[in-house]
Amino acid sequence: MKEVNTTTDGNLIKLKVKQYWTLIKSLQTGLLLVTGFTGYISARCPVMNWETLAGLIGSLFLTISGSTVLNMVYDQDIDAKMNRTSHRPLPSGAISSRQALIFGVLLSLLGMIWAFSLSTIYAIVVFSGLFIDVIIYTVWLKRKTAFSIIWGGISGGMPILAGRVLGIGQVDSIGILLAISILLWIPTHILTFNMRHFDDYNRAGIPTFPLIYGYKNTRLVIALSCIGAAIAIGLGSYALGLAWGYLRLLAVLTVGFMGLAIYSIKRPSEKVNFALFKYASLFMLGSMWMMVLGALK
Amino acid sequence: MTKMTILNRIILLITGHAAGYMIIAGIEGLDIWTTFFYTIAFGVLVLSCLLLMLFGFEILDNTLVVVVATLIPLSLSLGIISSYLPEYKFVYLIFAVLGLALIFFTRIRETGKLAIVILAVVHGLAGLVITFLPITLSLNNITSIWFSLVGLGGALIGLTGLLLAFLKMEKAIVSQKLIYNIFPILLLVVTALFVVGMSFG
Repeated sequence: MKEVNTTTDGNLIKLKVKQYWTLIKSLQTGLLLVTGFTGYISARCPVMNWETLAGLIGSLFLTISGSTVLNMVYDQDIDAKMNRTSHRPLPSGAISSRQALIFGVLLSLLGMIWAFSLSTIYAIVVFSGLFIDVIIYTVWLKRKTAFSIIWGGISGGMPILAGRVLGIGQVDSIGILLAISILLWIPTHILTFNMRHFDDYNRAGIPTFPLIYGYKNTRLVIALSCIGAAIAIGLGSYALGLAWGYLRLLAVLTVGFMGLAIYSIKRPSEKVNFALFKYASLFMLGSMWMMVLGALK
Repeated sequence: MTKMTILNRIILLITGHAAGYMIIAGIEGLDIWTTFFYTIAFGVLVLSCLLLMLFGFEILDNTLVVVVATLIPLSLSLGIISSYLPEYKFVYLIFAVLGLALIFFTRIRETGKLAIVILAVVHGLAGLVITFLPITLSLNNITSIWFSLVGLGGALIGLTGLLLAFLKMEKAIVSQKLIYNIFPILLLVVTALFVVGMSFG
């Protein structure tokens, strides 16, 4: 009997861990962590300083996860209306709002304390990301204007800036350029997603670009966003002094990115739209990978 | 339509990385034109792998695939000529640009037999250059024997182009499923031969 209880308890813990893990959107958090790591390595700081590196990854993981959980708490009414998100732990009732709120606040607080212990200026950048994401983007603007994605983009650019700041000890033009590249990349990511789940967002009453300005204009914004992100990443990589080989491969990936964006305008379809969404993530990961390898060389 | 398996995607990922490696480190120290031509060749390989992974095999039905696929042998042969027969570089460049433009327009306008003839001439000549020039160079000790692997890769890419052409035929000699199944492996082998051949050659 005791053995059966242990097994049941084990399953229950596994289930809870899985539900809380869902709250932090691990893929999105992981991608932002990669950008933060890249920002740090781009400083060509002594990467063998494992203590700082672990601090960067730990504090960013906690704050990004914390802000994601807090967003989920605030947006649970929207999530409940959308097919894609209605099964999430909060709208489905698997985790209560109070539990999630405590979890989100706890993660954010721990992350901020860790960030302050590393460097004050780094912690200020991390806090800016948290504040812009939760308060300005989610609470204030997301339900009011389609242009809220700009603030979502700014908060998304904070991890890479934070990483760079921790590496060099100050905010510099390269760090800002790298943050701008993320800011310009984010519309591609979000808007293609908005188009893919148009009905869901419409049902939830979120003012997305495709809903307010139509598909044609949205595709144009995506193409312009691709071009802007590619230019900013290219300039940032050049300013970092990456070897020509890395810049060449970056140029190749950029051609693919822009080509797909232009193709989505010329021959729009759901398939092309989703491929662009996935390519945008691959492009970002690839660019970060180039920067890390190039900076380490 | 044949579904792309996980194994196919892994093979394409490895192929893309191998081609990416060539762009980053495999073509250093060459003159600007040769580097440019090789970057296009391996760049198209990288992008082809990515797009195949994202869209699946159905992207091979796209009209532009033939044009893009021609870019690989054309730019690779341009790179080899630019590096080893620089006196013919300009003439061959004109042939390549004109050939590519003609392939593009005949495909877009669907001119039937003319499109096939132009494709066969341009693809064929570029294929001959990639296949026989590296082998000749290595046999004459101008390059190391390893460089002949590029020639083998050239022959295989010709076969790949032929298989893609079969896809468009009404009476296919080889089944679509078989072509799709071996296509990622062929791409990997071709890229590996190019990488090894150019790195040690």
